[in-house]
Amino acid sequence: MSSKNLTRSLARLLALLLGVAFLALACGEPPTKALEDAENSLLEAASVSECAEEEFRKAEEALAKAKQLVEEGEYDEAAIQAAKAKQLADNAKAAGEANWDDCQKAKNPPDTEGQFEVALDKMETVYFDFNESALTDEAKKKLQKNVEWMKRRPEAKVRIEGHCDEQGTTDYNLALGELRGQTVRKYMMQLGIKPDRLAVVSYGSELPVDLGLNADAYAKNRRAEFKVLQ
Amino acid sequence: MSSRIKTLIVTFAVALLTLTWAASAALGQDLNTDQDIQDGIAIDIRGGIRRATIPLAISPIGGQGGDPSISREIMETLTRDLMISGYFTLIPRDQIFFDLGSDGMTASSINFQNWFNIGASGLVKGTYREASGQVKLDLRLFKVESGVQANLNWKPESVSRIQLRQAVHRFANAVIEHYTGNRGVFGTKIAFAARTKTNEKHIYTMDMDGANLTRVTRNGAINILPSWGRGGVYFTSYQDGNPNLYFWRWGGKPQLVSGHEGLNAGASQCKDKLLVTLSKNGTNTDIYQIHPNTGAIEARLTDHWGIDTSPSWSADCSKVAFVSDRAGSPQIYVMDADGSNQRRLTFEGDYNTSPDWSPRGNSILYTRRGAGNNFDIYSVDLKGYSERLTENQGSNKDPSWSPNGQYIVFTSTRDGGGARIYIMTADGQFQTLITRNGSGYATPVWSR
Repeated sequence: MSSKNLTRSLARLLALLLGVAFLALACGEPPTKALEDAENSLLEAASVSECAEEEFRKAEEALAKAKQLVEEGEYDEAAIQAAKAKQLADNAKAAGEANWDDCQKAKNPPDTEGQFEVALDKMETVYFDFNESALTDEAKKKLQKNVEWMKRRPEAKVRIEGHCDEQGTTDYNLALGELRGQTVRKYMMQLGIKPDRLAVVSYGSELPVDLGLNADAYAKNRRAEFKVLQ
Repeated sequence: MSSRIKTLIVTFAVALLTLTWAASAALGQDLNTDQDIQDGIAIDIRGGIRRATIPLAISPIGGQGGDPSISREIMETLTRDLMISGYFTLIPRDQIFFDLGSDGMTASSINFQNWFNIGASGLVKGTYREASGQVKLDLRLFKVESGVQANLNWKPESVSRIQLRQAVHRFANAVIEHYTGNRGVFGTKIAFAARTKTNEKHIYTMDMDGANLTRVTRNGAINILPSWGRGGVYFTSYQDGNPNLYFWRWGGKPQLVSGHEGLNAGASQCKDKLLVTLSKNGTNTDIYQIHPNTGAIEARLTDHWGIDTSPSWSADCSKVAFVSDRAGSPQIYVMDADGSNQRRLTFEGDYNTSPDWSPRGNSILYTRRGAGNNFDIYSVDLKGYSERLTENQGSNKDPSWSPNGQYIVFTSTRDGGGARIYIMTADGQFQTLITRNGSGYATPVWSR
């Protein structure tokens, strides 16, 4: 073999080796970015998943399949599957948001009271009659207890949150919630709480504790809640 | 043509039109035939009173170049506009059975007898030509009985593909102007709030036909009560914990305008005067005038122990409608721009809220709570005369006038669903669903 032939063979071998290395690089990476994108989309869809259960389940399945393909080293297939999972998750999010109101109303949870009261400690929620800001006798009794609670914790500041049921209009409910909060604040001030310990915020009809469309649900939603700020 | 034949033809035309209306009145459903080709349109006519609508035919759109989606978009936009305008009965496509091959784009080349025979009074013809991204759009209205082209306040337009819908809207507006004397409202915007999660509500805008949805807020908070200011939308957001007033200049980021402790809500702008409801310093709600950008308080208009809220300017900025519960229940009141001469307008019902003053004249829309806990839309004039506009169709709330005072946008829970956005003609007779899917819509407001 002449030295010229040897050089040519070596060059061929080098080219082949380079080619193989290049190929290995091209299909050797798991589709990390596509998987991350799909996972992020699923996370975003998760908050409304209960209103698009079918769509969300499909997206989850697609992502699981993509991950399995990664395990099996089928990276190209995995990338396609991850992109599909992202698309399905985006669809689920859109469907969940569009259906949210109807689906929540259909589910009509019997009583979710408590989920907004985590931070209430021991102060009690008071309730109002329809379109009223006046305190009932029962409300006054509860407020007297709340005042006792605040007197035992002189450092505590409290935010009174005024709420309405969903029957009225957004603009008026916002003003009515404010008036309910102010009425509670005034009564607690009369019982000896300093004004700077009591803030008021109205949520109008934006944060019902019961999404039902019946008299019981409405009665639970016409309320003033207490959040301890410090 | 001799006058006798003319008379005959006119008589025949009147008879035919009467028959068409009588037939559709008898069938009741007939108006909805076109619904099949439409997306989310339902038409209700109140109380069995049927206004004479104009029977209109749209000839298939011819065109050169571009993809078939162009003619489809022209046809769909035009059909939807003319349907939801409430002034027309569109002749269903399957009734156009004759050969259109010889029909041209000029009055002399159209066989009007064919269109007359299927009951059309108006005929829309259109062509387009697509070249290097521009669409040259030519739409024409013909009057079938007289066989002439209507002289419209619109000329053929050359627009980019994404501006096509707006160009069709402008043509539809000119058609409405031709028949009613008032330019149509297609292409105008509506802002609204929609719940997306239990503790999230966001502000959106859309074209008045439900297209071009734009999301304004992305703050993961509750955002409510949008209203139009110059070049953007005011709204109240809980993103800082307190209900503060923000302004979103079109396409920009929302900026804080008013952040007093307590309520900052319900903005109404007239020229440089911005009215809002504040509950500052632990007082109950009152109406203030603030600077449109800085939020600095310029004047206090109400000072009352009860609730005063929901200001709405008259078109000339001289008067303000608002809600007060000073008489024991929420009622509509009116006052001068400086807060003087406050007087009550509504006396029936124990819950009258959400006033919106007409951009033309002195008709003030509002929401009343009626028997069975249903809410309905009414209007009241300055003499206190109220007129009912919705009835027996779920709860109807939050009315807002169109810029020309011809239409009203509002929410309704009719047909058993959650709240969706509808429009109706100012007399309430024609009512149409605008939003294309979902529910949980609230407080729609029409751009002025």
